[in-house]
Amino acid sequence: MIDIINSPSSNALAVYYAYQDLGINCRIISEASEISKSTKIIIPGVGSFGSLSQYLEFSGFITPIKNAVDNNVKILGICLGMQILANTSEEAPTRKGLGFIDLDCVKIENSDLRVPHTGWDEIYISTQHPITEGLSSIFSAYFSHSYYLPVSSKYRLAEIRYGTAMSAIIAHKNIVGMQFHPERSQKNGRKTLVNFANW
Amino acid sequence: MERSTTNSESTFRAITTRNFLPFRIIGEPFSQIKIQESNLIDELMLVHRNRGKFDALFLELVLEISKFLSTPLTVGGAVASINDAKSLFDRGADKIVIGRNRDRQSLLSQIVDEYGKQSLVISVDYQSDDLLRGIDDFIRVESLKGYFNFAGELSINNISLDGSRQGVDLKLINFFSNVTDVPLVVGSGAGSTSQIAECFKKGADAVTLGTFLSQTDQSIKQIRSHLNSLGIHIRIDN
Repeated sequence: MIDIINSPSSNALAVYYAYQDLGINCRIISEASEISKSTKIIIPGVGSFGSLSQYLEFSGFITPIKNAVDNNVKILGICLGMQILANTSEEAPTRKGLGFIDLDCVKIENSDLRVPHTGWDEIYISTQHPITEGLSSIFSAYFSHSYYLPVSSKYRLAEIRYGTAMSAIIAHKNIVGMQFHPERSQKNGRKTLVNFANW
Repeated sequence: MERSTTNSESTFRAITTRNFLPFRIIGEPFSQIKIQESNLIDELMLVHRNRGKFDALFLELVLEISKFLSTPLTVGGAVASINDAKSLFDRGADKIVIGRNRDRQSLLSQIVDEYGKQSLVISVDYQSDDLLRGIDDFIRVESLKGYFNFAGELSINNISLDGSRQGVDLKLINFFSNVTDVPLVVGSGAGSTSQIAECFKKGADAVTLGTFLSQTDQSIKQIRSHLNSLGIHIRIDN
């Protein structure tokens, strides 16, 4: 079963409906104990790094998620859900991420660019992976974020170029992250959600 | 979007407006939204025209739309409290738009603290009469800068041009584009693809279309490819 963590202020529901619309079973979970039955886990986006980090800690999710990762359960982080896979974020310097991805999230700072980075943008795939199967090497998806993960050759599957190169899709072992919102990116987004279900 | 009082089966009607007043019923919201989504709109902005409180039926409509929509959804029209905002986010809205209540800083900061800056669109509507009195009379640039602390996007509309198809107010786009730090969404008055292109050239980040889409045989796909030929870089894939 694909389990979507129901963190407060996240759009878990939008991800849930996307899978319903695709005819793929999933459920929204609010209890950390339910993770023991997960075959796949999604950490959805929307919200702030600090509040998500606190929620995961105080609701007891951190250890079960780490155990699941050790047990080869596949994890998808979407937008903020991807950022929380990293070590830290400038958005909440006193809070910690899950630390699966050895990167730190930074603020988009460029006086020539509008922030948040909002809207559809082009994604450049650099490495093939089951999650990008069937997508063009350059494809569009919907973004809405003020912080980003820098590009690292260790994790990079795809990047965007908004002033500077930013991670669009990252992967590491059984973990993937997407900065864009697949649940709001029409056909291309649906494709990545199906790919995750099939991975 | 407007509540129908005559038809008991389909409770909501999608409408076009002129000067922000109901002008023409264009059909049933679900089919209209499905058509526009399959035509590859970038985002959907759903505005409840009845200025009272959100009722249960409108919230149900938002939820029903969320169930099939694969496009970013912005909802607004009557958000007056954090609970109003929450009831929309809980039903799948990605962003909410606040217009009349935009000067209530405590409301804005509550929304941003809980859902993040990217979730809030601040809308500034004005009339041509306002412009004759000068920009500073109807909206002070200083107060605009206050909005940027909260808004993830700024949406502007010249009510006098709404539904006119005479062209969007380019002078104002130029003005707002120079003062905004956040993405600028403009609307009201688009009547041709070249007018839409002008909006982007003046610094708009997005253009909202209502009447133009419902009263012409233009599809978004055609508009996209025309915009690209006019030098506006806009996605055509998918």
